[in-house]
Amino acid sequence: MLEYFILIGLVLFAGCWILSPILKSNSTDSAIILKTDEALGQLEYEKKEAYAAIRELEFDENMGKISKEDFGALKKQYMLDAVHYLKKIDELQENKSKAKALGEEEIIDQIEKEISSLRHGGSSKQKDVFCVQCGTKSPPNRRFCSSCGAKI
Amino acid sequence: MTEIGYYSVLTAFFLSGYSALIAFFGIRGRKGNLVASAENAAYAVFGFLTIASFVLIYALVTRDFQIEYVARYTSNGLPMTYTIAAFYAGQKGSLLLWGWLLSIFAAIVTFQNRKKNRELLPYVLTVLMTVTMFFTFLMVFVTNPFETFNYRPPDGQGLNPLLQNPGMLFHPPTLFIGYVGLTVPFGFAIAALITGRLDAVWIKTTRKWTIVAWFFLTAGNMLGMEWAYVELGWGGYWAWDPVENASFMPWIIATAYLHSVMIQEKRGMLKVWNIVLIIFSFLMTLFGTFITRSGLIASVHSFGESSLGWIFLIFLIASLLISLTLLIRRLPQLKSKNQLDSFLSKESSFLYNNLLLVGIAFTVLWGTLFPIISEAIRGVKITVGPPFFNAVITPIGLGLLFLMGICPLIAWRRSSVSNFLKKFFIPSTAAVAGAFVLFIVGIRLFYTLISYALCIFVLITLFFEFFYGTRTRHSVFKEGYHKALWNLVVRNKRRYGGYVVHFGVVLVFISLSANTFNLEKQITLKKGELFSFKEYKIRYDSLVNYPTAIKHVVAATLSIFNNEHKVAVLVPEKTLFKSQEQPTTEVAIHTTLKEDLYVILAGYGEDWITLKVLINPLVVWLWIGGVVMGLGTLIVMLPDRRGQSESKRKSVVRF
Amino acid sequence: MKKRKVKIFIISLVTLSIFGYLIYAGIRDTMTYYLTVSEVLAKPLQSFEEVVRVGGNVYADSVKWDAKDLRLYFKMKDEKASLNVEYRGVVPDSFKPGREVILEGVYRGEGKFIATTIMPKCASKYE
Repeated sequence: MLEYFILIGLVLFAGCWILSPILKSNSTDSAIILKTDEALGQLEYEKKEAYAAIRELEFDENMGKISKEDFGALKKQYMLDAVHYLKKIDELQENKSKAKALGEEEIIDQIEKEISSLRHGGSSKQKDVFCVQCGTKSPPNRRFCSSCGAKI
Repeated sequence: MTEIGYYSVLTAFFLSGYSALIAFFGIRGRKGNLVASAENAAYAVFGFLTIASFVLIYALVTRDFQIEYVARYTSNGLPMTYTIAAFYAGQKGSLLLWGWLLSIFAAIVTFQNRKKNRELLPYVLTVLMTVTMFFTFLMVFVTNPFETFNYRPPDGQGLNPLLQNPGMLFHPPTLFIGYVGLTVPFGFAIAALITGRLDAVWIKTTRKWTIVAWFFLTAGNMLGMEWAYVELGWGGYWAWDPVENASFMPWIIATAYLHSVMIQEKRGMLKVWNIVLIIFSFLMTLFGTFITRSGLIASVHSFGESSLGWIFLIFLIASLLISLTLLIRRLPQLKSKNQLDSFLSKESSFLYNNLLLVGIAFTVLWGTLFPIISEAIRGVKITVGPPFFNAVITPIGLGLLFLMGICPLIAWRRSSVSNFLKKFFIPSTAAVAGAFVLFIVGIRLFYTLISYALCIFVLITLFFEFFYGTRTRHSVFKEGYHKALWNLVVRNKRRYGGYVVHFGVVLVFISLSANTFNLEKQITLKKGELFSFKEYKIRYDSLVNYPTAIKHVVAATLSIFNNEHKVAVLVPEKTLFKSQEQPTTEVAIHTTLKEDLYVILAGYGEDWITLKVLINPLVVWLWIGGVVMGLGTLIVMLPDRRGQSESKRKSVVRF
Repeated sequence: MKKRKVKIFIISLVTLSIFGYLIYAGIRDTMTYYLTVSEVLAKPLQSFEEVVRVGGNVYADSVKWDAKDLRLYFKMKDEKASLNVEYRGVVPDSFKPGREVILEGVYRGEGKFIATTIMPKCASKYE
C-alpha cells in the first residue's frame, strides 16, 4: 500500500513541477534566447573553421603535402573566407557596440595574428585580457568583449 | 511492487506525449514557459522510466517468479550477474531498456542545451519524446514487461545457456546505447529541417553525438563477434545473418556520415547527403528491429514472432515519410556553398569513400531482403548466404582500404599531380614489394594478396603522417620528438584520432583476410592418443563427468604441444543445463598472436572422444584492431584540455 | 564547371554499374533456392550438384547419431512428404528431434538428401 502512496505522491509532485513554468507567466521569453546570439555563435564557429583550415593548410605545406603554388592560391581563398566571416561578425556586433568597421588589410593582419596565437596554443605567453567596460575575462586577441561587446 | 513498474511506464507514456506536443507548440507560438514545462516533463519521463527499470531489476534480483518475465528468463540457480542481465534477455525487457536509455539521452540533451541551441531544442525534444512515447506505448498496450501470473511458480525457466557468457553482460547494452544514440542526431536533423537552421550548429552537435553512438556500435558489434566466436562453437564470428546485418547497417551508414560531415564542415558541401545519412542511420535501427521481430525473414535466430515487428514497420514508414517531406521542403536552402575544386582532393576521395560505404550498406540491405523480393517477384524463395556477401563486399572493402591509404596523401581542395605522385611512390612501391614477397612465400589468392598489399600501403602512409607531423612540429616549434608526437595527436584530436581508428581498421583487415587460411579437421581419439595438426600435437588425457548445482558437465582434458613443447591444457566441454533440454558446447581456444587453436568436443564414448579442431590464423588481431579503433574514437571524443579558456575552440583542428 | 559535372556523373555511373554488376554476379553465383520438403521431392532433378536449402521438422524417432564418425541420419518432413537426411560433422547444440531446422545441401534423388549445414531454428530465448 505504501508504495502506491509514494507513486501517487511522485506523480503529483512531477505534475506540479511540470506545470509550474506555465503558471509562472513571467518567464515567457527566458527559455528562448534571442536569435542574434545564435547567429553570432554560428559565425564564430564558421570563422574558427576557416582559421582551422588555414592552419591545417600551413601544416600540410610544412609536411610537404602540397606544392608552393597550390599553397599560395589556396591560402588566399581561405583568407577571403575568413575575412568574409569576420566582416559579418563585425556587422552583427556593430548593432550592439557600434564598433568601427576595419579595412580588408587590417582584417587580414588580424587573422594572421589570431592564427599564430592559436597555433602556439597553450604555450602562448599572451595573457588573457580583461574588458575595460565590465571586467569580463577574454582570451588574447579577442577584439570585443564576449559579455558586453565593448571593444578591447 | 509490479504495479508500480507498470504505472510508472504508463505515466512516462503520458508525460512523453505531453512533452512532445507542448515543446512543439511552445516553440511554434514562441511561448517560453511551455518549452520550460516540456523540458521538465522530459526530466520526469526519465525519472519514471528509471523507477520502472529499477522495479524490474528488483523483481529479477529477488526472483519474483510471479512476474511472467522473471519466471521466463531466470531461475533459482542462476548467478546474480546473469540474473541482472536477464533484464534485456527478452523482448519486453529490451523494450524497457531501449525506452529508458532514450529517456536518459533526452535528459542529457535537454540539460546540455539549456543555455544554447534554444531554437532547435524544442523540436529535438519533440522527436526524442515521440520515439520514447512509441516505446512506452508498446510496453503499455502491446507487451507489458510487468505482466503477472495469478499464481507463483516455484522456479523459473532459467536463462538460455548460450546467453550465460560474459558477452551477455556487455554486448546487448553496448549495442542498445549505440542504437539509441543515433536517435539524438536524428532529432537534431529533424529540428534543423523544421527550423531551417541548416548550418553549422546542428552539424556540430550531431557529429559529437554520432561519434559517441558510433563508439558504442563499434564496441557492441565487436563484443558480439567475440561472443559468437567463443560461445556458438562453429569457429567463426560473423555469418551475415539478418540479425547481424541489422546491427551492421546503422554502423556503416554512421561511418559514412562521420566522413562526409567533414566535407560539410570544411567546405559547406553535401548538406542534403548528410541529412539523408543521419535519417537513414536512425531508420536502420528501427528496420533491424522490424526484420528480426516480424518473422518476415528466415533467420537462424528466429525471434519470437509477434505483431511487434509490424508496429515497428508502421513507425518506420511514418518516420521516413515525415523526414523526407521535411527534407524536400528545405531542399532549396540546402544548396552547396562550394563546388568540387579538383578530383585530386580530399573532398573527392571522401565522396568516393561515401559512395563505397553506402554501396556496402545497400548490398547488405539487398542481400537481407532478397528472399522477400524474389518471392514477391518470381514466386520462389531464393536466399543468399555468406558467399554472396563475401563476393560483393570484399572488392568494395578493398576499395575502401585503398582510399584509406590515399586520403592522407592529398590536401583539401586540390593537390598537384606531381606532388601526389611523389608522396605516392614510397608506400606503393613498398606495397608492391610486400605483395611480391607474399607471392613468393606462397600466398596465391588474389584478394588476399591485394588486401595485404593495401594494408602495407595504408600502414606506411599512416606512419608517414605521424612521422612527418612530428618532425614538422619538432622543427617549427623546437619541441622534443616525444612532446612533438604527443602535441601532434592532442592538438589535432579528430585528425590523428581518426588515423588511430584507421590503424585499427587495418588490423581488422589483416585478420579478416587471413580467414582464407583457416584449417579444419575432425578426429576421433583414444585415451593417451596423439593427433598432429600442422605444428600442433594434441593428446587426449582424460574425460571427466560431473554434475554441479545447475548443470551436468562432460569435459575432456587435452594437452597441447607446439613443436614438442607443452603449451597449454585445453578443456572443451559439453554441458547439459538441468532446466534446459539442449546441451551446450563450450569450446576451448588456445590463442597466440599467430593463430587460434579452436577445439570443439563433438562427441564422446567410453574411451574415446571426437574432436573438431580448427586453426584460425591471426584472429586475435581482430580483437586488437577493435580495441585500437575504440581507443582512436576515444581520442577523437576527448574533451579539450583548455576548455575553460574558450568553449568555442572545441572541434577546431589545432595546429 | 559543366565539364566537371559530366565527369562526376560518369565516375558515379561507372561506380554504380560496378556495384550493380557485383550484386548481380554475386546473386547469380551464390543464390540457393529455399524450398519445403515436398518442393524438393517435386523438383525435377537437374544435377546432383545444385545446392538448395530446405526447411522442415526433424521426425521425432528417426534420429541416429554416430558420435565416433560424427555421422547423423534423420528424417525430415513437412505436412506431406519426408526426406532421408545424411549429415557429417558437428551437430549444432540446438538440433533436436521435433524441432524445425533449415538444411543446406544437395538432393540426390530417391528421397535422399546430403546436408552440408544444419541450421536449427533455435528457439533462441534472446528475443
